[in-house]
Amino acid sequence: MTTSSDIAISAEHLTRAFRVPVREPGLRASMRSLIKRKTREVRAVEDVSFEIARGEVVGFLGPNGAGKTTTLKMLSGLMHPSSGTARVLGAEPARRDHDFLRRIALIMGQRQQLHWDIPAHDSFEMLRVVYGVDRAEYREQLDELIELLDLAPLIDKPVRQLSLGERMRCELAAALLHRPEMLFLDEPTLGLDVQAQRRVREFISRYAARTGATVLLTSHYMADIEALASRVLVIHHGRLQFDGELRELADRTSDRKLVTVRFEPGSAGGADPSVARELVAPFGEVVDTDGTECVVEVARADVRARMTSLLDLPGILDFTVEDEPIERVMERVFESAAPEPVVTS
Amino acid sequence: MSVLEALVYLSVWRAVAEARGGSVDGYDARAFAAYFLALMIVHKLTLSSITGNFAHGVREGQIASQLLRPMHPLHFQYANLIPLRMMMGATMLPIGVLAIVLFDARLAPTAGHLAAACLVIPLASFQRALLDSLIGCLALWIVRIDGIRDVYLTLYIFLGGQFVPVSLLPETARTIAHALPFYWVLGYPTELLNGRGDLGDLPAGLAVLSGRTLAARLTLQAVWPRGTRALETVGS
Repeated sequence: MTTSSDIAISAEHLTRAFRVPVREPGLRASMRSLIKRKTREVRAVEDVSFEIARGEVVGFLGPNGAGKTTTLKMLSGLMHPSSGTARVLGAEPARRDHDFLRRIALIMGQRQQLHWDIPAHDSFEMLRVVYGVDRAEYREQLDELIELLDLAPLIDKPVRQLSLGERMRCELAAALLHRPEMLFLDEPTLGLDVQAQRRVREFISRYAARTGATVLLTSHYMADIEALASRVLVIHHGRLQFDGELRELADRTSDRKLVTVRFEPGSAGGADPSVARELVAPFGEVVDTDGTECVVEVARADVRARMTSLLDLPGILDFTVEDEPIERVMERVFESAAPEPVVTS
Repeated sequence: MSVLEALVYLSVWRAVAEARGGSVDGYDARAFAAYFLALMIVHKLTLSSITGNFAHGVREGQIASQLLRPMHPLHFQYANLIPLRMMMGATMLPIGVLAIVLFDARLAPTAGHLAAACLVIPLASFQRALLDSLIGCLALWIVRIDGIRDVYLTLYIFLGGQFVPVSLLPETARTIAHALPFYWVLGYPTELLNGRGDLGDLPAGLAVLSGRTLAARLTLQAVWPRGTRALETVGS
């Protein structure tokens, strides 16, 4: 049975609406808007409810403008909800009590909290004082972060001299010096190269496992979500569309499989991609050909029946059956149209 | 206020004094030199960059990470002022020597004036920080406050005694200067440090400064939560 102390985040009917001005371009429209302003309401988040248990790592998915960052801001205390309630670690985030702030960290992509002109370790020391971390605990935590993030060659250099990937690692360390129990990560790998992304993912995974921290993570990179999150929340047009396992989402929304057929190099299909396409076309929609390989999309229900016939193709060397890439699944989920905005005077 | 700015003001008023037969309402060339030297010292010790820094933080989105620290963002700004003022105060030593040698500045406050200045300057510097904070808070609503900041600084220069001693202003302007906070933050401590302030008015002066500081503090306390809520609609 889940008790209230087991719950890290409780969101009930969270809603956030903004009133934004509507104005046509041009001087006349600008002058008119001084006297009579038209506005429209944008409901960035609407009636979102979920619970996250302590220690869970949850992915928060949605296209641009879906409401992910707005939800994260309400849960971290940066923004007040228009209606509904949020409780994080038993506290009301919007009050921004210092005790609450000492237990959380919000890491937002490119935003920085390190001082640009001084070495990172000076900023770390300042944060130690701000968060009231005692020296022994700070030293232990910093040593651990230096080791996990490989920061030793970086922390004595002014932050402005670090590359983007190096700076992100230092920013991660800065955000975790006070050993927060709750991590809000908003696009933590944004703009990083592949290697840096992998390092950040590995670090977050190890940190969560080691400390039992609860993590709510948004990202456009499915590799982040697949590597870190056991559960996903999908938000679109401000509304929660799905809450469950990532695999369950894929199974629910994807009714097809991808079959990759490999031909022997000397065969007709292996020598000429157009021949390969003709050979596999009867089995489904050909989505890609590359050298001796051909990828065809097959309805899930037809896979078993068609594979038997596939084996009879001349020159076939091998084939594999895989689920659709999660990116394609998510594209389909996000394709639905947005409701019309309401313009008011 | 830079040294160059002070030199320009000094040169202008020395020229005015010479053109009027040597003095203007009791200020001769040496007295003007002493006044602007005292002004520079007080200016450095009450220096504040809060308005610009805070507004910049709001505009650049840095305010978000500051709001989520267990420390008021303005306290962070105040903490930055301490080393800034100490550093600026230290630069006054060579400048002071230069002013005395080159311009024959006659800065000779009595022990009483010096003690009074030591009481008033910290209070004035705190009030300056609070005033700057209040102006800076406007950025929470409207983000760009450059125009407002310019008006604020212009009033500070003319009514605070930075351009001319407040006692030399026309009566109406003097009355307005005494009603607004700028004179109390800059002109009043300068007059004490310059040995020209009336020590008999010190209790009243301290009462005015303390009362205004308290009023600014309470206003800030009321404004801040409203401002951070308004900021949410702008984006942080």
